[in-house]
Amino acid sequence: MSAILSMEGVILSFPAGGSTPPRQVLHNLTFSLARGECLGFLGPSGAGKTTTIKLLTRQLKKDAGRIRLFGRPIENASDADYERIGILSDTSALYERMTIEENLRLYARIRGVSPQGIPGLLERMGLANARRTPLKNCSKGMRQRAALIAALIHSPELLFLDEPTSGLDPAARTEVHRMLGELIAGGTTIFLTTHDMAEAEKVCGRVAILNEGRIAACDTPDALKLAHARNRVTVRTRSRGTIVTSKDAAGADVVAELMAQGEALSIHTDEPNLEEVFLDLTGRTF
Amino acid sequence: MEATLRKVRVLMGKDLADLVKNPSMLVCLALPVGFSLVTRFALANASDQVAAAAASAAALSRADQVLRTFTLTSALAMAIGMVVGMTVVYGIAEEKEKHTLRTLMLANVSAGEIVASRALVALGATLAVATASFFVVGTAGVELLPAYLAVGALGALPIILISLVFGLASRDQMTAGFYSVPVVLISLAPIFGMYNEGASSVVRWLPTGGMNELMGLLVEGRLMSVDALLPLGVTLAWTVAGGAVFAALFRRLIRDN
Repeated sequence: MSAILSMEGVILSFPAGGSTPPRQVLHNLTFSLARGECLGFLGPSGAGKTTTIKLLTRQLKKDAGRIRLFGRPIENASDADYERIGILSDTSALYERMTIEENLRLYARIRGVSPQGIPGLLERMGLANARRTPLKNCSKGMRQRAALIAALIHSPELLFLDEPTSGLDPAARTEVHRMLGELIAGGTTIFLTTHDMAEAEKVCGRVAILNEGRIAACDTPDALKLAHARNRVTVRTRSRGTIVTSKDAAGADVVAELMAQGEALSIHTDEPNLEEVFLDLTGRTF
Repeated sequence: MEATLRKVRVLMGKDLADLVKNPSMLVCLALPVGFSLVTRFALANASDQVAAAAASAAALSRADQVLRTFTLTSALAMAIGMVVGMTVVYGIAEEKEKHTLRTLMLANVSAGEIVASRALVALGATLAVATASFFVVGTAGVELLPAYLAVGALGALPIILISLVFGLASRDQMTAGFYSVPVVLISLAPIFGMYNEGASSVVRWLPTGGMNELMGLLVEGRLMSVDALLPLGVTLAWTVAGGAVFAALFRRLIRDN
């Protein structure tokens, strides 16, 4: 598959003020995103997730390295290229004195698309009954869902989502995940930042773990977990408590013996979750 | 170009609706009309008193012209000061503070499209309010209205550009409150300038000073005379200066917090 978006050796520093040297926030960032793929950028606050999105969406300029968007250097990207993009930033906001529906109609007209799809999108995001509610009377979750609809109202090929489920209740989060799944299935390419490990695992085909402006690892969630799996098997027994053994031939003998004796109640391989993978890679917790 | 026009048109609809839905902005639109109403009542007997005191027909005519210039300039200055000064500075500051400006720009709306919409809506609203004030103050016949609006539009241009700069420089609405004061004061300067000669000699060089002079010439029926060139030049110079400052600063300033 061809890369729709890529970064190669990208470096960015922020001025620290006074005589202090600039603080480097992104270190040699390199990754690519294929058409129809969903790449999750995982990391704690301050890791550089939002900064990366800002670089990819013309809000910041890199110091060094190469960024390609739709196959051409980002410096040469045209307005027409940016019409193929949808962005939900960490501060995306709609107009408070307008209703949800008025806001979405505004963005549909700005994007030059028919507002006919709005009722369907409102229905899918659970906002149909609130469509005439002024935004100032909406909860944070409702605002976030409305902003998400505004970002994808023109059916973008490439969607940048910065913490899209931040502030949403579990039901709304599930709905957003379902919607993102549909978009991915429909061929939309998604670049998503999150610090929600479960979200990354559920939605993203690949995740890049970002730590202090560096990509510590980038692969599918399963591959990452497998790569960081511990070499041990835990067996809960009927009368001998919990036995931890290795994941090798000797361990297999132990497990087989326990099973033969009817002692084994449960057998668990010790597979880490993404949070533990992050800890393994960085020595830090979220 | 087609996309730009479409976006500016959509934004103008949004800005206009916001002007009508926002109670604070509505007050800003109503204040100049209210001021004109007060002026009308305050000066209701002035014409009669001037007529009684005038030593000659020429003096009477001159006094009448001064009165009409004062009322019409005051109406325009109030309309420009309140509508442009407040709606543009506060409007942009609110967009920055609430991050709707960034959201628009992330939807591929350019900074130029955003400010063009703000400027056009402010100009339209100013002229609408100035028209209402013209009829409320009632000191000139309707035949003067087109020229009165043309002078008003000319005087509003430098204030719009200055307001755009202050609006973009405002981090939030609180800062906008501070920044809008000089804009309003500069707009209202012609009113203060009419009280004495010393002030008048300063005011004529300010952004709305040319408008004041042009209004005087309009009332005297000499708007198309050579005397109009200097005030016209002053107004255009401020417009060019405002435009240059705006062009120099707006890419740096049009970012939200």
